[in-house]
Amino acid sequence: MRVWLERVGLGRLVVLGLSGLLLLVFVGGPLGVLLIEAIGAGPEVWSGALGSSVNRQAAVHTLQLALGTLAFTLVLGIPLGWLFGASDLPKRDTWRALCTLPYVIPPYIGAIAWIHLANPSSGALNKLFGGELFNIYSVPGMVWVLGLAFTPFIFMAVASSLERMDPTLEEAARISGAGPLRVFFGVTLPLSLPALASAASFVTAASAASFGVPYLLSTGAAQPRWVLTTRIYQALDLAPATGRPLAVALSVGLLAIGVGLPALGRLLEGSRSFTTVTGKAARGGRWSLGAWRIPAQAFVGIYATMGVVLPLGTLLATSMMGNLGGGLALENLSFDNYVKVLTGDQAPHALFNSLILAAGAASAGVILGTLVAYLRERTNTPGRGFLAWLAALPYAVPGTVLSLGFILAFSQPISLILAENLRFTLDLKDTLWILGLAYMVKFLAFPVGNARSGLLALHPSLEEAARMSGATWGKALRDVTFPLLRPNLIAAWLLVFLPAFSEITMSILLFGPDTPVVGTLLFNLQAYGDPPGAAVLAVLVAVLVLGGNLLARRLSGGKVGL
Amino acid sequence: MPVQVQLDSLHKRFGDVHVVRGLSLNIDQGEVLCLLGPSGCGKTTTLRMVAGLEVPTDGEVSIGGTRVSGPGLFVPPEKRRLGMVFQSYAVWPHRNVIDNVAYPLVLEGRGDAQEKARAALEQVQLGGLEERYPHQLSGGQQQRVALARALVAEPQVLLLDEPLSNLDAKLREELRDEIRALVKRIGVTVIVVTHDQEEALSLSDRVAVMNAGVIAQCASPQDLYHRPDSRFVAQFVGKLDALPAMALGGGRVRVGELEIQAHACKGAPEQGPCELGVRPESIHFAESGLPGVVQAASFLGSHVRYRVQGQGWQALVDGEAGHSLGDAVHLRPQAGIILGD
Repeated sequence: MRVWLERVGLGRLVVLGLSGLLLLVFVGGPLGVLLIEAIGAGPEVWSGALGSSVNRQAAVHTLQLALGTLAFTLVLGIPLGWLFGASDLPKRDTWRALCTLPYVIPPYIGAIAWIHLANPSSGALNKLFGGELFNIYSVPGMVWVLGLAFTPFIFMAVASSLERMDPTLEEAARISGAGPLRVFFGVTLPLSLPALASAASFVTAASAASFGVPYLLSTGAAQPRWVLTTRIYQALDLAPATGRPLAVALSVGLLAIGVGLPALGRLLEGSRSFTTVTGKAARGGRWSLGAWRIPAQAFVGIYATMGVVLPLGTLLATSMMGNLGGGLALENLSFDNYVKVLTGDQAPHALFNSLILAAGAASAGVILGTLVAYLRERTNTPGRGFLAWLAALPYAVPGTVLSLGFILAFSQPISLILAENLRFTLDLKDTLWILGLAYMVKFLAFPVGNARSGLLALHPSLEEAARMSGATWGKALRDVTFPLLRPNLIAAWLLVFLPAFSEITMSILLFGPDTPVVGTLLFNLQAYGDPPGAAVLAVLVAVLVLGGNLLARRLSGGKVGL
Repeated sequence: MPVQVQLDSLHKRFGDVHVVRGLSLNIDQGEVLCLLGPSGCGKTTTLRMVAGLEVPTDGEVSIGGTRVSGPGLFVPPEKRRLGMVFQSYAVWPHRNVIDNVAYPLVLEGRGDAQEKARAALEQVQLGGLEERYPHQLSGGQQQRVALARALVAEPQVLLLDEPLSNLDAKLREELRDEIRALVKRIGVTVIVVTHDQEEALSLSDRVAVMNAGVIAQCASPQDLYHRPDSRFVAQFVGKLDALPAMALGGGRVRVGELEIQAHACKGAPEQGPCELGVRPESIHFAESGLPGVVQAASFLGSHVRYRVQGQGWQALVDGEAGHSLGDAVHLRPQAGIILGD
């Protein structure tokens, strides 16, 4: 035992052991409890869940939302990706930067904007054209908002795989006698298929798991269209204790669609991986659009208008309107709403909470994630593969399901009695802790992934050289490994901080009376009568995430961010 | 000379793979010893066990008379007072040259770290480059930084892991001579790992040829080259061709019409048919001898290396220009090695 300790090193054992333990408690705990509840659910729970037509409809809506959004993003995203990645579209870079904005702005912000634009009774577009032409409170409405938000995932995957594709592959097809169209469908598209498929499965999973958009587009509706995430929320919100079995049953359905559907897609696509990414060869020639330049620009322009300009403009206008019915007259516009929101009691409190939580979750996530990555890449500890898998798992689990796990696991105080006077009590309900832990767990995949790729690029001998120079393990980490990982870790920090700051899906289930956050306040304002206030918060969130992403891009040398 | 490093029946397993299988070796103080062998023979693992970067599965390691690894004992690498140069140099890219070299002294808390580091840089002829960052240095300069860093804290033993393999041929030769001169001047004990036999022969006092996790032979470069213990060592160190011959006893061998004195490997037949190993420089063209035909000729600058095909054998022969492909020639070996199994 003593020798074994000397070999591993006490400090190393404590630090790495503790990180494994944290992972088991706060990732394994919630998901494990959820699994036990699901297995233990009696037939009456399942028949209750399946017997209700509202629940069955919710499942159908979720399926429609997932597949509809996928179809929408593919139809828009593939042509956009080709235009950005392989054509000579004029002002390509400007268009591309503009069209990428929805990638970083939370989709619920688009939903708020589109409620102002296309709600059936008073939406600006309906007024403009006279009549109830558009109804955003519908499944197609949800597909519209989510589709616009998720299209960048598709076109970014297509464009970057086209750009990095070895141009000689296409040239070889041309030399072999294939025409341009044949080359595109026979060579180019199949070669970008792996990248496209993984983006498509992400879009499917994210649409099925989305909460904010379907929630906002149901609460104000005469005929609400519930989906599984919003039904789970309802079940827990209406009857916090008795609703749990139903929530668990619905979660199983959500997992089947949100995780099963993309997995099925990957299975059908097969594990094909082509080495199309050479990294060296930049795209040589671009396809000339010729006379199609004008329709192509119009197409890109329409997406940019619908996805970025119109919604953000609407929010900006709404946030400055004194009277919502008063229109865009100059005397109706001012910054009074901003002053009102920022000097009230609610918004500063929520903003402060969100900042603390996001910063805390990001810092803790980066530390834990780096240690897990170290455990995985630099030691031969048994179970290291499992721990790394466990750390990446929560990102694949819908936020609604993950927070249900947190509720099940941590809503009662847990006492660990080690000795008469030595007991630990974990009482997380309605605290900032439960929110911060949920954020950290949900986004832990980013720091683990960033730190792992950083470590893989770092030769182990750099750290060994420090040991040989007389540094202990901890000193070698501090002096050599961590400083060299710094760009990856800063990027990882922002990748946790930004989504955590504007998070809604988990927050709405886990926040308490004293722990409002930006997302929950924004939803409250939107749902209960202060749309201008909600618009102010939405604009603030959008500005912050945009700024944060630009910062992330600078700090990571272009690896992450916009 | 007292023994500085003692390895006693070392074993190392990685899962099912038994990489080092009971290796024992003593290295004297001030000696330059080379671990030479094909890739996968366990030489780097052995070096890393001396360093403390790998934990032996079994066996003992002592350095300077103190046990550092054995049953119930493991001294971590930072407490072994060693210096090491890695194959990849492992010069820290976020520190400039002087901070790289001074690091071991800074860890010791020495006030004169900067001056000592400067002196070490002078020793490896890098004076004036103190403020440069590694990416501003050539491969050879990075190598010198790594060497200075490994030597600056006056280690008990200097470990070199394939130190020259990433350099081009000309620089490799230059640095090789320089390293040898430097370590001999300081008098530090050195263990070098390499797969390059030329490097091993020219750099070291003794070479331990490793094969499949054990030492096949440990001897001076001259003995290794001229008096190998086994066919493996004979063939691994230097070029060697086998000619059919007849052992006559007492190291006498008849090859063709000739009779010469040869070194016999362990397990070589005392009498009767055998194979005679010959080096390209100890076999020459002659008026009479073994008959053969020139098959290929490559011009190597100082001489021409011919491939000559005989009946049931072929051999490399160094000679003057003048023979053409297809020429019938006679070969006369001067010395050789009677090969065992």
